[in-house]
Amino acid sequence: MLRILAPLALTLPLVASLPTTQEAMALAFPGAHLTRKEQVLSEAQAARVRALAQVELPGSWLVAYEARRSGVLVGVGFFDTHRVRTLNETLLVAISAEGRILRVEAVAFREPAEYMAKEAWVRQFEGRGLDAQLNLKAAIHPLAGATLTAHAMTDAARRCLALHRVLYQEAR
Amino acid sequence: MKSFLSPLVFALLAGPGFAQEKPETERRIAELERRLEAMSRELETQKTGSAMPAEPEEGRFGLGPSASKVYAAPSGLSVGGYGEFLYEGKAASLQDGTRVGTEKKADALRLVVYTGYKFSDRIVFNSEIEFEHGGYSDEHPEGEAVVEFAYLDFLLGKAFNLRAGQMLVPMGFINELHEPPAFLGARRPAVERAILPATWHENGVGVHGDLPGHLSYRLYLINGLDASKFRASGIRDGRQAGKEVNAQSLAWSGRLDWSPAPGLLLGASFYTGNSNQSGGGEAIATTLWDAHAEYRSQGFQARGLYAVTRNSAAGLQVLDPADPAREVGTSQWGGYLEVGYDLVKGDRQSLIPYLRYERLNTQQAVLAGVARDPGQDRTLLTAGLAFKPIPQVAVKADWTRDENRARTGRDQFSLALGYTF
Repeated sequence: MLRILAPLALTLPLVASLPTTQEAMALAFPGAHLTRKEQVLSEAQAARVRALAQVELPGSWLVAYEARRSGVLVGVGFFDTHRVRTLNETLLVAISAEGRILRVEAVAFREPAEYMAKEAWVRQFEGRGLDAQLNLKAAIHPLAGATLTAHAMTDAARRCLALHRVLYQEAR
Repeated sequence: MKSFLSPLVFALLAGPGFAQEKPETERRIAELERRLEAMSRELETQKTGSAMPAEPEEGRFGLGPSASKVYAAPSGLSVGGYGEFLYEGKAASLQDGTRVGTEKKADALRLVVYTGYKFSDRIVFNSEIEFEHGGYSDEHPEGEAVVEFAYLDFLLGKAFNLRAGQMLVPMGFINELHEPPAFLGARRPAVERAILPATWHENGVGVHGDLPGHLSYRLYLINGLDASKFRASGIRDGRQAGKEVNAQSLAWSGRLDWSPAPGLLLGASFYTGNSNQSGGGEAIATTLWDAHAEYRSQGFQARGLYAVTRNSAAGLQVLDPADPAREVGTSQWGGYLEVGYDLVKGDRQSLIPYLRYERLNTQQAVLAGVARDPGQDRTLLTAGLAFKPIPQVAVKADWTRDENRARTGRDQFSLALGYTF
C-alpha cells in the first residue's frame, strides 16, 4: 500500500501546519493596515479584566494588533498563549471594534493533534460578545473528547474580550 | 537693560552646550526605545512562539514567503495520562432470587501514562502505557502492564496522513476515547466491552484526516482477530493486543464521523477480516459495524450506539466439536442510549445525574448444534450521579440493574474516581 500512497503523498498540498501569526491576522483582517501596540495594564485595569472575564490573567504586559481600514479602527487581534493539558497553545482572538469575536485561529498547538478543536467547533465563537452565554454550559457546545481544549479556548476568548472592553471600550 | 540682555547673553553662551546635549538625549532615548522594542519582541516570541514582523511590507502583514514559522523551537516531548479506581459491590442475590452472598471489590483499575514526541511538524510519536489492576508483579500476576498504543504519525496534510504502529481500532466511542471524565458511568458500557471489545488495539498501518463538509475519517489495515480465542461471551478474547501477534490474516477497520454542527456527532465504523490465524483451512470472516451519535448542548448530553457482529458459520463449522470457539455467536448485537444533564450552571464544577439503557446478545444466532446461553442475552439499566470538581476529575456512583434471560443477572453498585491530565 505504501508503494501506492507514497507518490500520492508527495503531490499533496502541505496544509497540515497551522497558519503563522501573519497569516492568521491576514485571515482575520483582510486588507487591513496593522499596528503593533504594547499595553501594560494598571492594577485597576487588570482587576477589571479578571472581573469581566472570570478567568485567569497571566500578566499585565501584552501586545494588541490594531487593524485599520482607511484610518478607521475596525478591530484588534490578541495572541493568547495558555496551557491546554501539559503543553501550550497560542490562539489569535480577533475582535471587532464593537467588541464581538471575528475569528479565533490557532497558530501554535503543542499537544497531540487529536486534542485540537475542529474548525466547525471553533466557528461557534464568531459573533460572540462577552456575556454569560460565552460558556461551555451555555451557548458554546462542549467538545467531546477534548474537554481541556474546549475550556482553554473558551477562557482565552473571554480573556481577550475583557481586554478589548477595558482597553478599547471603557478607556474611551 | 541688564535684565533684558541677561537671558539673551545666557542663551548665546549656553547655546552650543544645549545643542550638543539635546541630540545626545534624543540618541539615548532612541537607543532605549530600540532596546525596549527588541526585548518586547523577544518576550512576545517567547510567549506566543512568534512575533509579527517589525516593518510590515507596505504596512500589511501578507502571505509572503518569508512568513515566520510558529514552531520556532518547540519542546518535542508531550506527557499526559489518566487513571481510575473502582469499587464494586455486587448484590447478594441473583435475578431469580438465588442467594449467592455479597461480593465487594476495590480495584486500582487503571493508571495510564501518555507520552508523545514531536520529531518535526510532520512526524509525531504517540503512545499509551497502561497498568491495570495495580500493575503486574510475580506476586500479583493478575494485573497487567501493557502498551495500549504506540504509533508514528506522518502528517502530510489536513485530509491525508499516515499512521503506523500499534493502534486503537477506530470503532465506537470508548475504544479511542476512554478517559474517565469523558464518559458517563462508573464502568464503561457493557456493549462497548462485549460487542465492541474495548480496549481493542492491534498492529497495523493506516490513513486518517479531515475532509470537507465537517467529515473526519480513519482507515487502518491491521492484524486480524484470532478466532481460536472466541467464546460464547463474544470475540473479546480474540484480540491479539500487539503481543507477537499472529498476522496470517489481516483485517480492515475504519470510521467516518460527521460533525455538521458544534456539539453534534454522527458516525459509523466497521471492521472486517479473516479471524482464522492458523494459516490454513476455512476462512472465518468476522465483520463488525456500528452506528453512533452524540449530542451535547447547554449541560445536556446524550449518546447512542448500535453495533452488530457477524462470524461466518462455514469457518466455525469445521472447528473441533469440543472447541469452545464454536460457541461464539455467528450473529451478535448490542446497543445503548445514555443521557445526562449538568445541574450546575455557569461554573467549572459539574453535577450530572445520568441514565444508561443497554441491550446486548453475544449469541443472537449460533452454529447448528450449539446451545445458546440465555445468560448472554442481557438488559442493563444504570442510574447514577457524576460529580466533577474540575473538568479533569470525576467521581461517579451508580447502580446497575443487570438482567438476562437465564435470570442469573446480578445487580451492582459501582463507585469510581477518575482523572485525566
